[in-house]
Amino acid sequence: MTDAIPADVRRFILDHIGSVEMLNVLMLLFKQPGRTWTANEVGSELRTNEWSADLQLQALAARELVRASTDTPPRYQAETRHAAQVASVARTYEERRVAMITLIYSRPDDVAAEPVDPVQAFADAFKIRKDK
Amino acid sequence: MPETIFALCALTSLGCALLLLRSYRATRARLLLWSSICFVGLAINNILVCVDFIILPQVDLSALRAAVALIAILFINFGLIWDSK
Repeated sequence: MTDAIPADVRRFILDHIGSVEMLNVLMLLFKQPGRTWTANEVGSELRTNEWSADLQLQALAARELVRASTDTPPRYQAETRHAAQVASVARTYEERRVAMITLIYSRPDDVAAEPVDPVQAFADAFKIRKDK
Repeated sequence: MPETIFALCALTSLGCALLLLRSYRATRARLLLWSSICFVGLAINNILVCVDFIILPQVDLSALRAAVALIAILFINFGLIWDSK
């Protein structure tokens, strides 16, 4: 099913996106590239919590897909030089949502792209066998 | 019998430490490193309990045991504070 995803989009997802929530945050920021967002605003918009939204935003900022201001709290804005690439991802996400989600969660077992929730990581540490 | 319980406690703590360390290597979440160090401390604490009550009952190691446990708990507290906002 993931074969239906264009190669460049597939590469982008595998290189940069660790979760569907992260992808949703990215889509949100690139939908209004001129707007700056706080984690709280992103959390409200996506109906998640501020802390989780902040984790995703920090991870995206670390990958230079969004830029963070030096304000407190920081405001995040889409990094427009990636606009074309993200537009392609957004189009594929609209058209092949299930395939995209499958791709994100069937990624090879590297967690480098995943922003780690330390409490979840703590809980997962006691799983002897990894989830399939 | 008590020695078996103490040894199992030490082994369990050590097992937890190893699992947390394994997960830390995979995720690099600092909380796991601090937690792992904490469980190493708790394992040492349990070994000291064995020594205190079974091997050297004539020596009072309670202060040392308490100190080791305190340091161990400080590590996990530090991790929890450090990794939360």
